[in-house]
Amino acid sequence: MPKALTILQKVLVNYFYKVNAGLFAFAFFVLFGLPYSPLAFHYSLITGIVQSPAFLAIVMLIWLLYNLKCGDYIIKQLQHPEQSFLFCVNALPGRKLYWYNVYVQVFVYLPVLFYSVAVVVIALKKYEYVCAALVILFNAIIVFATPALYMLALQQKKFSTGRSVFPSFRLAIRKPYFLFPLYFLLGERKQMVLVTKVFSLLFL
Amino acid sequence: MLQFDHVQKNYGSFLAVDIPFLKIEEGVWWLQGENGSGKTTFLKMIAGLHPFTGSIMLQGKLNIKKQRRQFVQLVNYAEAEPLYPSFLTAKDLVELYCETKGGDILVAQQLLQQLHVYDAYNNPIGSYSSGMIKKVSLVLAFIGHPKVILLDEPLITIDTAAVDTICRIINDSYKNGISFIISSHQAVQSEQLVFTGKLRAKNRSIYKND
Repeated sequence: MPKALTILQKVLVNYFYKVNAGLFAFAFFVLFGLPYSPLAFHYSLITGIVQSPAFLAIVMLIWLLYNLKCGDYIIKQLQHPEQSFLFCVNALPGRKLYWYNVYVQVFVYLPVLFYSVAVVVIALKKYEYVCAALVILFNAIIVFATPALYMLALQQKKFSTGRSVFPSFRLAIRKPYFLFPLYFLLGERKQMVLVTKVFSLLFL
Repeated sequence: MLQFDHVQKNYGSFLAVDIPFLKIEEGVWWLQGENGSGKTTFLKMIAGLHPFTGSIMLQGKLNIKKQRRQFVQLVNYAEAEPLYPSFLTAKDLVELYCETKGGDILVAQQLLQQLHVYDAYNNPIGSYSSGMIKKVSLVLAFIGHPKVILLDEPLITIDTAAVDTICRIINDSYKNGISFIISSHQAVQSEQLVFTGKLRAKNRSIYKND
């Protein structure tokens, strides 16, 4: 295995699962820790996804949110000063680097890919070819398009270029100490707050 | 060697560096300036670590924005205060840099031996002292076939013996055609390093101080 790929795996993928171990344990408990047969539950759930376009759309939205979480994590990691040494991988041929990033994306997106395989297999068994094609297309776009963002982050490029033409409306008000955590969440963890709130809403 | 044309770097709406035009010839250049004068930003722009407007050309033909890969292969950079994930080893880093920059692992290992950090080659970076991490980062900057090496405060943190070794490695590399831009607040003795000239970071720009 090439060293660059091993390092990307160690720094980005392994660490992603380590950091999100709690989330995965929770998701596993919700999806598989049921009092009745998990297989029967998931078979009926996937049958519902396959046969209802609205249900399929909701599931795709959840997958998209999960991918947003993955992408946000990877990009933040690549922009973190501790990972700035990874800039040296830009000396690799662009195509090779792209496929390395696809590898990273596949591994962080693996839980969705596993479930998608089950959805596609059941969709094909039930002759729901459109659903199967949509699931394959959706995941293919995510797996092959998201690494382009990782490439930008690796190259330390700006995601939005140019100077802001809008004036700053920051008010010079004194922030109360007890609101510091809220300011931190809204300033530094916007995406995490959004994903958490949407997930909570969907679970409810 | 390096040519800067209308290079500007903004942090939000704050203009940090503005270089209308600057040409740096081959040699060993000493970059001086006060804290916050833009030295590190300047080096990071050349290394490709900071986005900017304008153009930076290497050897008159490689534009960092258009020929990024070739540019990155020819320009190496060592940070003033390097950081690495604590679970990686010096071996991991050397092998990564050799694979991406096309360097020789044996040469890198010899440099680590000269700086007395080879004994910890297989140990995680988390077990290194800050001086050892600095030495590893300096060795990484010499890996491959660079034309320019950018060293941000290379002489801080390391012991005096290592300072002499680094200066000798820089002198040897310069004889082999590698140019350097070295930022340093410390006075360097003329018998250690002979500078081609000085660059001064002042008034948000970089000037040649011949």
